[in-house]
Amino acid sequence: MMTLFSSPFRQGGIQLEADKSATLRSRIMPTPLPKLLRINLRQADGVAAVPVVSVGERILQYQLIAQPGSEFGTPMHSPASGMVAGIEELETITADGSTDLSLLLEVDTEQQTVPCEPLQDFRAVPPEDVLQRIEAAGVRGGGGLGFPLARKMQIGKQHHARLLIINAVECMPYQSADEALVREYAQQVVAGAEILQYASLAERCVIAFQKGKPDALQALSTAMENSTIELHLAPKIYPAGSEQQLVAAITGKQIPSGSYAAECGVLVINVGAARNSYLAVTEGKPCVSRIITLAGDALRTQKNFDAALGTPVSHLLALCGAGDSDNYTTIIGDGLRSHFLLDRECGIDITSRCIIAAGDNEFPPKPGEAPCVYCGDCHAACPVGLQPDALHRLNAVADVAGLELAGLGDCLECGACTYSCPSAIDLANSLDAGKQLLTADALQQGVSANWKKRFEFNRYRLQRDKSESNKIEKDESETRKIGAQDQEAFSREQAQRDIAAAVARVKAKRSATSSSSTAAPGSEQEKPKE
Amino acid sequence: MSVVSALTIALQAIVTALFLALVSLGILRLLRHFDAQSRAQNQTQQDLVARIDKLLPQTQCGRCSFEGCLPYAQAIAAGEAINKCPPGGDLLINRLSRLLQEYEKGLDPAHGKFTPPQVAVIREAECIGCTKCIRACPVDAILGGPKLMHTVIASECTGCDLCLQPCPVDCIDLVSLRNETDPAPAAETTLMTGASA
Repeated sequence: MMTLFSSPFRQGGIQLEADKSATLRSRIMPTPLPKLLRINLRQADGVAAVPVVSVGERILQYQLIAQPGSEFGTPMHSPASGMVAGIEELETITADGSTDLSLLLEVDTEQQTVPCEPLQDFRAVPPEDVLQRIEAAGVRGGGGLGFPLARKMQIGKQHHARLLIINAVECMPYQSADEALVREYAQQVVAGAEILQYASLAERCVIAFQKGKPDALQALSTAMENSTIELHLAPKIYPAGSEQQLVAAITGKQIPSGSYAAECGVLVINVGAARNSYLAVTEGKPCVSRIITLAGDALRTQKNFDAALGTPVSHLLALCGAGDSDNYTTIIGDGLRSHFLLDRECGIDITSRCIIAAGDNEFPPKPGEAPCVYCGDCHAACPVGLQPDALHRLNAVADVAGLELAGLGDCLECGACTYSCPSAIDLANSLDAGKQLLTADALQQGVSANWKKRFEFNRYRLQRDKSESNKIEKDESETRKIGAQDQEAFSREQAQRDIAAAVARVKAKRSATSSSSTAAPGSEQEKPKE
Repeated sequence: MSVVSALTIALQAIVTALFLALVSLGILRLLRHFDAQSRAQNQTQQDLVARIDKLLPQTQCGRCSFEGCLPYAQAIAAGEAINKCPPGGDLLINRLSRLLQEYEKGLDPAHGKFTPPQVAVIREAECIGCTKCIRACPVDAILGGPKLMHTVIASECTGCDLCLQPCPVDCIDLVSLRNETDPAPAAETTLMTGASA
């Protein structure tokens, strides 16, 4: 039953009438640098990179500013030349609103650059060296977490990855950064894909793109004319660009629950990361910027920027002609999975893809949640074949076992269920909360297993100590027994001697009485006197 | 005539032999079936204990009146009530009833109220070093020696509260681990809506 319903041919998803043409009217703008950059040093696993520059130091563009602090970290480089004004814990652009180690850089006007080492023909060096260049440049994935690209490719190599997918689907509303990137840097994207294919030793490389983007598709087809790279066109639905969906559509096989594509021998790499790989390998430039969409009714012009990492959101908003800051709300994300930003001085990081400055009527306040009418619209919308309403009810009673059984682990957190719900129930939020329960429960399972082990050892130890102390007692009682035997033997001899003595005395007495029977009373009377 | 009668006798013999063979085969099959069934039952019984034990919280607190979680798991497999575990609470009852197709309304009040995760903490200034709590701890999570200060290894403590009672100076507290009142705020929200309400 499950395989039937979750077959790769099952589509799911929602149709969006999102018009992204406003953001694509102008070309990608090279962003003038702000006065102050606020660079977030946090890496994919939540551990901040370790700064290698100190406060007050003057640094150049592309200079190394931080080394990875953990296995899943990347080195970071300066997007501009200037003076380090501070290294401190500051609020970040991320959804949880946490503070992280950030580097403040006062940008100067000279813009001096560390010389880059270009590499004209990447095929002249071994694939390991190409991978090493990507690693040193600090290229990270453009997806949810910004996973280090070199690390992902190493995992893929360990699992003998044969297929490389460059993901340029970008099915979200508002966001058009990848589309603009493909339209304007198609040559670089294809070159990047070739570099990644060479470095990962993959036999086949596919660029996944979406239908309904004619300009970018034209540019991409032209760039791909003389290459062996294939093109895959995903349908015009949301979501269509997740790892799971792409692998299912291109290979006809599904990634098992709880696995990543790289572990199954398929590398799925974001198109932005492919272009950054090209810049890193061929031009020798480290990853210091990303393409970001600025959209929303409150902006005079909506456009895409090639912005330095750490550029404050307020700077980008000002470049788009956002008016008085009280007239709009700033949203990070694509409108379907997004969060509000309160501090507009936060700098963008590698995972920021889209900023929306929403006018008053852009997102009308939702009506209150009505009861579920069991229409099943969310079942049809779910791209992975879950039943969000059932999961919502299970989450309400914190039934972790039920959530796990119903397959919540497969949820992509795309928000299609909330979008489709006619009763305005925030299903995606509920599923998120359920996922947190699952994580906590998995943690507790490990803890319980440890307790069980320790308890078993405790019982074993007590038993062992008991048997050992029994043995000691036994030994002691045996020695006592031997001692007692000695004592006994000794007393027997004594007794024998006593008896012998008594017998001798009696014999002597008898001989005395036989010699003089008259003397007996006298001798008896004498005895007390002695 | 004789040929016919001989044939009849032979036919009869063959039919009888076939019948006997069938019957004996049937008996053999029946025997094997019963054997396999009993073995399967035994296997599932062991399997069931392991599965129940995996659901239990493994705090080893003994509040179910059994000496540890495994003995309680064995008792449940043998028909004991499933609502005697205060650290497991309603979630455990829910999971056990799903596994055993057996329904209980809530915790048996005779065994106490639901206890959320907690750890024991020794007020070290007051500890006299009597080692009584060390001997009471079911998971060896208390460190110390005679007339030396004791302390709880928080990462290994199950919060079973078995060390509280033996302490002659009452210097051990139980501290709750989870703050139940404030759930984690929603990180991401969906602002767009497709369906008209």
